[in-house]
Amino acid sequence: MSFEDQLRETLRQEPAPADFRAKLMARVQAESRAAALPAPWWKRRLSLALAAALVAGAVIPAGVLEHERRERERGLAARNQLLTALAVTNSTLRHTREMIRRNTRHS
Amino acid sequence: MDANQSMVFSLALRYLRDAETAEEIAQDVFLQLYRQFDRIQSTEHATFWLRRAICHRAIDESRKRKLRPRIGLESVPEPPAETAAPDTMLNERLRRLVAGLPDAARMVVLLRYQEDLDPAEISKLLDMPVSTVKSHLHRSLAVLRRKLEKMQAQTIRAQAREACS
Repeated sequence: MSFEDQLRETLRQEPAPADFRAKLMARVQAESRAAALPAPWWKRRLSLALAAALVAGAVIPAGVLEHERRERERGLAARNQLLTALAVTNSTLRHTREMIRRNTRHS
Repeated sequence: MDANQSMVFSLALRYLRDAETAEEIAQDVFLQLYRQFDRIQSTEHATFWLRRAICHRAIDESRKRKLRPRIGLESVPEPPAETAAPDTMLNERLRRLVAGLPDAARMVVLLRYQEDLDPAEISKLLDMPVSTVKSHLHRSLAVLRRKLEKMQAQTIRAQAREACS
């Protein structure tokens, strides 16, 4: 027998312990059971709190942004109204001044 | 599955020389395979995956637990002469010599002679260049052969002394 064949003979596979498969199946089943069990109360509470925080984190900034947008729009509308009012006042004043000037010239 | 069980267990056992730890990490590797079974495409893929996983896990375990001191083959104490049947004695001596190989060389030798893989397959499993695998094999074989011959010569001398006295 060559040295390499001797090594092959020496290092041939050993059978796994007889209860290897049973132990493995027990671990697999334990893992599946753990995955199927409902989470404990504190875990559920924690999940709810986290979900609430996430929702709040998403909703609050959106609300704030919407409020700011509306305020800006209202400000713009007020500014436009004021500009229109000023324009009207200006034209009225100009018209009045013209009337006074005309009356003064005729009398 | 039985063939894979023996393969995984034997690789861990021969690498770590600790049956309890070998069984534990072999179980872990199978459990890991079960968790990602949907990613496995064929039985060959499963065998490759298991082999790769157990090699890396055994190497990690060896490093973590410092099961094996960092010593070269030359400093491994030679096993005492035994009175068991010659074949059993030779096998046990060889196993001990292989167990004394440095980590990387030991895994390469196990994959070559236990699993009958060629250097290219070993290189893929261990993420090691083929030339390094070949070099580990060449050097390990030379050292194992020399060490074994030395041990056998000592045994013959001891037997001769016994016969004379």
